[in-house]
Amino acid sequence: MLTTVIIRRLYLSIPTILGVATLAFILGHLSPGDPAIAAMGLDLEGYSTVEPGELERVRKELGLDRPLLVQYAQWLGKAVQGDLGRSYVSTSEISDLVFDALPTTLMLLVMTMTSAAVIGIALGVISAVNRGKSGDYIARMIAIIGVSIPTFWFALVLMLVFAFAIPIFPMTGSVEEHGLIALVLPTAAIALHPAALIARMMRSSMLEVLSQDMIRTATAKGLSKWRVIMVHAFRNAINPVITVIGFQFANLMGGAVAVEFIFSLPGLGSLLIEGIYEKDILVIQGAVLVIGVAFALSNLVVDLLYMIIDPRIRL
Amino acid sequence: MASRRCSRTPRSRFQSLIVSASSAVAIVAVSSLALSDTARADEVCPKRGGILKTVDMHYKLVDPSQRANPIYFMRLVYDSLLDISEDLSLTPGLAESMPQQVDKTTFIFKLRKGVKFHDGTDFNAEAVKFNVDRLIAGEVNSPYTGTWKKFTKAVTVVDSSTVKFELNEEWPSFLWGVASSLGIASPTSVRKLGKDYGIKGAAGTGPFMFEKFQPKKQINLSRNPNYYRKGEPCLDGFQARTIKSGSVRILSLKKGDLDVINTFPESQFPQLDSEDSVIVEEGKASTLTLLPMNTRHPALKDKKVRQAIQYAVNGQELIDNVYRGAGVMIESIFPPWHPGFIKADTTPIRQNIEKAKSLLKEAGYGPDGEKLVLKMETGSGGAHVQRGVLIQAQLKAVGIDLKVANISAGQMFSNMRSGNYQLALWQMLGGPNMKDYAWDMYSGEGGNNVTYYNKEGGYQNARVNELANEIVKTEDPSKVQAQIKEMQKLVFEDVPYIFLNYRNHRTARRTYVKNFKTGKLKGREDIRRVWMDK
Repeated sequence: MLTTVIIRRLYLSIPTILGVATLAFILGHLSPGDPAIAAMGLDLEGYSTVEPGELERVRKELGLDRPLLVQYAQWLGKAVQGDLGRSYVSTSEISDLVFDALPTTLMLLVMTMTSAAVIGIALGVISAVNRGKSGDYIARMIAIIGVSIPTFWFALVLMLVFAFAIPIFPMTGSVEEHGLIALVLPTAAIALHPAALIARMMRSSMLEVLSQDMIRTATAKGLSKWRVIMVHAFRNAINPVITVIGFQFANLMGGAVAVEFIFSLPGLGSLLIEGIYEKDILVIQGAVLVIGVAFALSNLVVDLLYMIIDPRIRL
Repeated sequence: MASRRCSRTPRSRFQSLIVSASSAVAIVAVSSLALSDTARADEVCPKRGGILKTVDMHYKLVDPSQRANPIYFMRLVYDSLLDISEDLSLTPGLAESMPQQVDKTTFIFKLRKGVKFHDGTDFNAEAVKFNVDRLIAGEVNSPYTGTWKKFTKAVTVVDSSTVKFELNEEWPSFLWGVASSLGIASPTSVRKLGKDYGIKGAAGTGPFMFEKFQPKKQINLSRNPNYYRKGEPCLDGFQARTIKSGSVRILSLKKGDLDVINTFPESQFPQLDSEDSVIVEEGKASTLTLLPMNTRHPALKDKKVRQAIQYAVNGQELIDNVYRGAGVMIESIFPPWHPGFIKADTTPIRQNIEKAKSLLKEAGYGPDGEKLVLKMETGSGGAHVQRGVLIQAQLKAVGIDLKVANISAGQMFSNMRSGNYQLALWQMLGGPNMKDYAWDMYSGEGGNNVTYYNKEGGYQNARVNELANEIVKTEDPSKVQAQIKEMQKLVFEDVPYIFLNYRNHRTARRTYVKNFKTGKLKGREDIRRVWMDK
């Protein structure tokens, strides 16, 4: 049953991925700049001499003089075979660049989402169960601070305190160099915001469920408070929160880009921003395509989670 | 078994003595040579070892045809036939001596013998020819291809250690071109790695060897134990990573994660300057800051408008507020360190608000005339934004409405090349040759002339064109002093560019990093003799 669902959903995601690929192509060509300039290193500070005709020669060599439809068809034809081309700027294989960067970003997002979900759900449950008491106020205050603090600023503060003043964590550097500890501060920086949103959603959902007759019945039957909350209330309250978690995963990418910049993490966000800045079109296309596929798959995972948590749901 | 005894005759004993004595002398001589080599090495490097860690600003390919930032990155793995010294003079590098100039367009280089590439193959004349041909063919996109293609007629291998360059026409800055843009890579490695050369491997003759490279992320190099300059380098290795945030770079330096940084926000300079564990050094007037103006634009074609804008701006205010004092005002078309520097009358390029307003009025703009609205493009970094804001305010004071657009350097360059701009805030780093600051900027054929000054559709001054063509024909400024003086007078009057100032460059290093001398030109440090006392 699950296998059938997975196969069907993968099959249905093909038009989505095709749409993402087309969008990636359009975005790449719409972004300002001239790839030939970055390819020749003319965008570096202070260097601007170029002989007449050179830029045109390089553009032709990069295939940028061909009609857009031809460029699109050629790129897509190669992309389905796994060949995303070579960077105009660094001449590296795009697939090497993207798949080198992907693990860092994926690890960061998974760690962030997991942390945010655990913290947010815990805060939300505590807040709902202790409604009107100090536990509720503290949890709600944490949530408000979480949604208010800009990710970029918080990242810098974490770095200043825990990487510089009290050097527990590395300031910059990759997972390859330092291990997963390199992602602790970036995770903390990004996770705060979604954790706060999840906490608020969880609180709201729990309060709604806790006011239902079935909870009163369970309590009247003599079940323990813990069992009532975690087995009966929580299980019913979690569904809308999973939806929020799914949406938050997509939003995390924005925060990840800023944090990758601050902590100099070699992730997809950094790669995409550099590609846009240099108008390295194939990098933009490759990165957006991979991000699109990743999100399509993450949506599938969220939907499957629904099915597991609530067997009544059919996709 | 019978044993044989060698009988020694008196004569053979004498021979043995001679042989023994000779051997002893030889051993002592070799040991002395080795010792003196070591002694020389110790003079070069008071202490050896350590890996220098710094920041990679923009290193996309470890290929000699590329330009890196800082420039000295290219000199880590590759050498050229000529070296650039600290005072910007040229000395023999992979060539054993300065070239023989047969005539105006022919140069013969004698190459050093016994030099090896990092992959163990021999450096020779074939390798030089291979690299020139590769650069001209544009096998890798390079900013140098066009110039080399334009000037090079042929490169001939005379013998394994002699190479002849024949040029299409006189190239006065040929030697500078050889020193600054012709790094020599191993043909064997280039052929073997193909399109992956410079990414998965690289081999030059330089002081450091390729270990690991992630484009624009990190580079790791290790010491070349067979470097042709005996005793160098002092360091065991070199490592650079990308850290885009200026604040994080400074924190990393203070913490000790980095040993040296070449670029940091000027606003952070006071913080670094007061730090005991950090030394900050300054190189004077390396970067020319100016506003190219599109003289094809109807308003900017009018000299009075351009002069008015020049009189409105105040370069000193930018030095004080944006560069935190790290800059000097312009006094010549050449920077102060340039051999062509001759102090000019700078009255036409110094602020004079009343004159600005009066010229605008004459041109038909101002309170009684048309409102002048212009657009200036500038970069998107911190200093670019600050300069844009200051210049906007300075022009507002004389009644010019300046719109500022912060865009990427690549986009700005593209717009300037295509003439699709009005004003642009640009920085220029030239060399100690006569071409960069004179001919390239003002001649109608100048590759760096984006103002259309003396180009079709732009403001014309035939005399400036003539002077530029005369100046560029020599690398000896003493022969063209009169021309330089006249040209300066004319361009300061015509103002195809708004002349702002020269920006100094700063480096910051930990106190244990020794012999790191901030280059006369930005990014041209020589780290072969840098050592670390830690």
